[in-house]
Amino acid sequence: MIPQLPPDLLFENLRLELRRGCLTLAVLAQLRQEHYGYTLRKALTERGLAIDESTLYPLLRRLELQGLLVSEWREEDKRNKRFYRLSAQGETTFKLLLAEWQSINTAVNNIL
Amino acid sequence: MDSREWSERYLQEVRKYLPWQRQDDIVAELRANLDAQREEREAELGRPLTEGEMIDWLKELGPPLEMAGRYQPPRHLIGPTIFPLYWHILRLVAIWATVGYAISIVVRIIVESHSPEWIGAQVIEFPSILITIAAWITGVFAVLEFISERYPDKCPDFAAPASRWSPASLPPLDKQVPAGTKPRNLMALSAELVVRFAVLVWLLLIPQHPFLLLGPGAAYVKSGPVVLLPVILWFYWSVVVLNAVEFLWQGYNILADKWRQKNTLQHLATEVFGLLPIAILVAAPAQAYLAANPSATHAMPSGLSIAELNHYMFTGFVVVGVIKIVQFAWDIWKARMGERNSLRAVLLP
Repeated sequence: MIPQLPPDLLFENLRLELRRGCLTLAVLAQLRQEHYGYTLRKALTERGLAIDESTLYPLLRRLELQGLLVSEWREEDKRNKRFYRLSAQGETTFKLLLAEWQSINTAVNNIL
Repeated sequence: MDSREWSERYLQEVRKYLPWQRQDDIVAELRANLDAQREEREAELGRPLTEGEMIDWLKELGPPLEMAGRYQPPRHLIGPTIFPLYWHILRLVAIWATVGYAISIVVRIIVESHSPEWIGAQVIEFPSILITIAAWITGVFAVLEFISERYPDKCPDFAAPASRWSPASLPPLDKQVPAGTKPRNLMALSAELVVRFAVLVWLLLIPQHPFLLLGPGAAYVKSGPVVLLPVILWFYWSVVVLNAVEFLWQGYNILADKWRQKNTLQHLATEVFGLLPIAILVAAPAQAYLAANPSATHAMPSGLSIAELNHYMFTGFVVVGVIKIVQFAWDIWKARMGERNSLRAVLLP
């Protein structure tokens, strides 16, 4: 038997699930241009997608481990920063994900 | 306290819960990001962030345990919400189990009388006890994870302590490693711990198996012209205790995540304890370490007497004692210079 969650908790779980996939797509999209953690977070926030540091920075590491991003330490403004961008595999995966996203988006809009 | 010190204190705490192989890299990246964000905020305000603003900002970042937990690889048994708490408790229990076990062995050695083999067996048995404890804790947390996933309304809210977390509770910064000093390496320290453990077991086995120390010469000792006086036994036990204390201390430092820099006080305390075995020898009654063996089958080499042997040994021990004292004085002087340099580094960054 699947236990029933309280409505607010259920909504929160579903919201997080929906957001998780979108965040990955948004991060990959933004990293077609090179960024380090903080400027990436700012760029996402400016475009309406606020994301916590504690979510974004570990996500970058995970995507890099999965081979979708590449990173390098470089000095900027007299400070070493870790810059991320899409890898070749990341670009291919991003295109596929984007096509999938657009198709889901169109379908959901049609249904709505 | 300035705003940079606040973020350093936060990072120091995050580091403790990160996977150790990636600690430096992750902390360096977090530092670069947080510094950029802090500097931008300060540039916007035209002034440094106040203590209250820093506290609010660090609260937004979330408790260090939670921040570090997100960097842990995905786990199926214990999820990221409970994992930091699990890890924290596992480490605490490992430390206290080690301390409790060590105390219980020492008490049993004092109250009951046990052979060195028994002590060796207890030491060798300890890792399996630790593994059993860890398995139980993991099992309890796996059940908690299962319940909290399926029945969140019937389970304690593990995220609740996070919402009550305050940056004011962050511990002060550890002293910086002086420039030019080689940073300590966890692998090397762990290897050193294993060697210490092996040395301890070896020491404990020597009384029953003297060949471990003397090799084939052990057979000669039984029928040789001299026997060891009780002071040598006192010396032996003081060396065992010294090694056991160093082993436990180093184990505690590793488990409690205090291994990054040398603890000067601990080091000096070890040096003081280190003087004890040599002091026992120097203060031996009548400066005698050897006596004639009544069941000797071999005679002393000609031209050598037991009194002479004792005298040479005493002289040797005095020389070693003096070297140890000079070394101790040198270490104290170095520690004082180190303190002065650390203070200078804090005052003149």
